[in-house]
Amino acid sequence: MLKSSFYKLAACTIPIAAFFVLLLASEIRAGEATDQVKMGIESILNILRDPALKGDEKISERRIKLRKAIGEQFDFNEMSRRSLARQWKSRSVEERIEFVDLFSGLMEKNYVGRIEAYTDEVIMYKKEEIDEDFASVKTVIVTKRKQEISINYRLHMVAGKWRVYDVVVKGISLINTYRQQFRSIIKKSSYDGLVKILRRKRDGG
Amino acid sequence: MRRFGTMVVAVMLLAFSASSLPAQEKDADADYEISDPFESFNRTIFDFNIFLDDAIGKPLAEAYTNVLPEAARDSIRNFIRNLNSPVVLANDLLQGEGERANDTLTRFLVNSTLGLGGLFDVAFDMGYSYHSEDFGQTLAVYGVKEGPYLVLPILGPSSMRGATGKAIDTFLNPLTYIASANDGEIWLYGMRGTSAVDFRSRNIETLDQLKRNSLDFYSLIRSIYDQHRRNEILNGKSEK
Repeated sequence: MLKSSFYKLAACTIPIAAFFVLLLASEIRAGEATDQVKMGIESILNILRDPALKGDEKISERRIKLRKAIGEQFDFNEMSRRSLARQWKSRSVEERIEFVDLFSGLMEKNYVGRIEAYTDEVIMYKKEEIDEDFASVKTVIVTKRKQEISINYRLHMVAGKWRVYDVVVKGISLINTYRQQFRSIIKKSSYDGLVKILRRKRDGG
Repeated sequence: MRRFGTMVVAVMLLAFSASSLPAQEKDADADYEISDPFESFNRTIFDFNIFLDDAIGKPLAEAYTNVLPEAARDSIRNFIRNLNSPVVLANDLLQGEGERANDTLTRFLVNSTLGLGGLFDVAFDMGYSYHSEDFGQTLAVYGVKEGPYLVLPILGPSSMRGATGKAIDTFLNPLTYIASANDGEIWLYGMRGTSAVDFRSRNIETLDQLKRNSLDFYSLIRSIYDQHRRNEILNGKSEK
């Protein structure tokens, strides 16, 4: 009698306890990707706000710090892999290393200036979705002209840390636009042709 | 009873781990090709459009920006948008989007009156923000496939479905009939032209930057068009 009611109690308690544990666990996880994006953006903004790093004469010092801060948040290896899509598999290890180097160099060249152009637009953190080792953090930037620009960060978990592998601006995925261009170039010329173009773009004025 | 408990836990586990991100995102090899069987023809038109834009479009847009203050340009845009509301409303309704239809109708009524004939977007401040809608999107909602990518002369990136939609929108627009009944087609063309110049003037820097950063400008624009349209058809639901 006692035994059976114990089982009954246990049968009710265990799922309830499990529910709270899960709830707690999901609450801990929820927000963790957002926090990381927030911290990452803050670390970059702190460099931009730092009076000791302002101005053209401080450009190389500032860029070194920016590169480091950006490198900690963004997974250029994954970005390269995704933008090459199926092509990635057919590349040798050396080719992949070379590609990641070229691609991250190009990213820096194209976007670091835009990051530096940031002044004090408001960044709002809207929502995050986590699915196993993947997450998306939705943000909105409000410009001075009261325009809202949605910027979503796509992240994946690498060695216990969320890292960005794609940025989606107003519904346009950065990686997707590169993937389409890479595919088109490879189709028309070759992988080597793509590498040549990448190098020219990265090193060109 | 115990089995029931296990089941509850299992269901909850499933519920918590339910996939919320699209599968494509997780798959690093995910790749899709935008249908573009007329690519070489499209590229020719694309180059022609860039030539026209360099020669006329961009200089015109720059002059427009330099001559008119921002407030005036905003009013011009608001005015044209307001006149096009019937088309947006018709497509909202055709897509069964009641709330968006209500937004469009409220905007039209408020802006036409309080907004002095549409010059001022008063409705925006009341919480009714603008959205565009066209018959191409309606066709998509009805399940019509996108069809091949098309670059139209002057009008730019489109698709078989988009171009068809554009043509049908002209028929949905009361202005088409008002203009032709009063021999006022010239005003209609003038309005379209102004709208195009205004649009271009708002994208001077963006387009310059895209061009500069691109590896293959044609496929970059094609990709942006494709993603933008997908997002518009979902009414931004995937990204909000």
